[in-house]
Amino acid sequence: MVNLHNHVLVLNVSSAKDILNNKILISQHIESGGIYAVAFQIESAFKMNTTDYEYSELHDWLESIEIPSFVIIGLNIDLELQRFIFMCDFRLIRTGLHMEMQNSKMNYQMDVQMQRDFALMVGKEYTKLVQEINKDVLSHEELLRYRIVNYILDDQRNMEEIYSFIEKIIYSKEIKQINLIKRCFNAYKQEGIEVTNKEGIRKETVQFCQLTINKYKDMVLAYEN
Amino acid sequence: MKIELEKISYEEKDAIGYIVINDPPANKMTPRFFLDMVEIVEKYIDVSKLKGIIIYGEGRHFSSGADVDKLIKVIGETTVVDESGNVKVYAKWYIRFIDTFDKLYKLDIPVISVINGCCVGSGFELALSSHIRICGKGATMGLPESTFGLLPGVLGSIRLTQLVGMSKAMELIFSGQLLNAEEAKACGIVEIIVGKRETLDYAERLMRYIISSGEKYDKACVKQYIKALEEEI
Repeated sequence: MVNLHNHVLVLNVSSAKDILNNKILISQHIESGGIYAVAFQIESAFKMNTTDYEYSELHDWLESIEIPSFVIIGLNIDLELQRFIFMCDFRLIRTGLHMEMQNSKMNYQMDVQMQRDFALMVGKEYTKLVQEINKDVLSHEELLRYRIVNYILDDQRNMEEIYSFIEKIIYSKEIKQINLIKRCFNAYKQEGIEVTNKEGIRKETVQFCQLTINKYKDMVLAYEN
Repeated sequence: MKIELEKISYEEKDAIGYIVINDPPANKMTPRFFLDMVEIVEKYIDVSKLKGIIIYGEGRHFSSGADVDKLIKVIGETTVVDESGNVKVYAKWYIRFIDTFDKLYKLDIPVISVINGCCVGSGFELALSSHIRICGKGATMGLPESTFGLLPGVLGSIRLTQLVGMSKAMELIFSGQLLNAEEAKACGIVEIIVGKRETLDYAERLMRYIISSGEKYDKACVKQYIKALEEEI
């Protein structure tokens, strides 16, 4: 099911295929400037069920879209679901849910791509975190504390609460600004955050100058009028 | 040695360089501040045999960030764009300023920011370019640039991402949310919170502890240094 509300496209999904099947539709909405965010709502068992090629296709696509992606999690997170939610920009989870840690130590259960996504998601504490997490499950509070999720929902079906968090992110921004901020983060995702070269640190500069120039044009125009 | 520039003063004492943002009360980062900062780093820090650097703001605040209208104007006037309005050549002074922040971050001696009061925008980006952030109670910090149509422009997005991970960094940068000291500590942005009158004293003690440990400084070990100092205290 697809819903469009206030520039936010919400899709109920239960597999990666559901997303891949809607990829063209979502991309068309993004290109037309019609949507500012996309949210994937998961309420029942989630299956990746993808070939390696499809997995990469989904991963690359989510790393390249120029609007933020949200996942709204309404069930306990198993390894299958971890693979998907780590690809998204923001994670919201219903209170009382947890993430399963099949082999206690996180790094033993994650493949290389997941480890990379996880490291990007939690930052420099990554190594310490994977050593520290030595439990069978992580509660919703722990997921928030470790920055694995961004927000805990009182009720996953309460769309107002979901939209309220999404609006905090996209509120009062023009689509061009959202695109340029996201482009900056996409570059970090694609090239890594341990940048040491000049080119690496210019990703932000490019988008910052572009936005500043746009503001400057508005300023000049306002002055002339 | 004490150097007094228009917006920054700089002093070396016991092999520690003190960079003081000196434009109270708000310590706004004007284009003049940017030039002063580049001069301090290129002319003094680059050539000194320092063992550490401490950065703080004169008065109650660290810095309320850039004067946005002036910044937009000066970047607008000094950046070259093509016919479609896309940036072709960046303003040289701006690139030098970014490289100055990057240089501070990459130094192999401890760089400590002492955060009191307001520390936002490019002020916060300067603090993020340090290796250690000592925060006074009641401080407020964050990157609100997106709320006025921009995004951080002095490496704030990459430094915050490295520090707290992309998910939290995106949340903070997109929303422009400001954090109080406790929230910043919970995210891992500041290392320790002390009374606002004790911040500089604490930073100097920590600096002396790191220098006197005799071991090669490693910015990945900041938490261990603070833990060891706390045990000593």
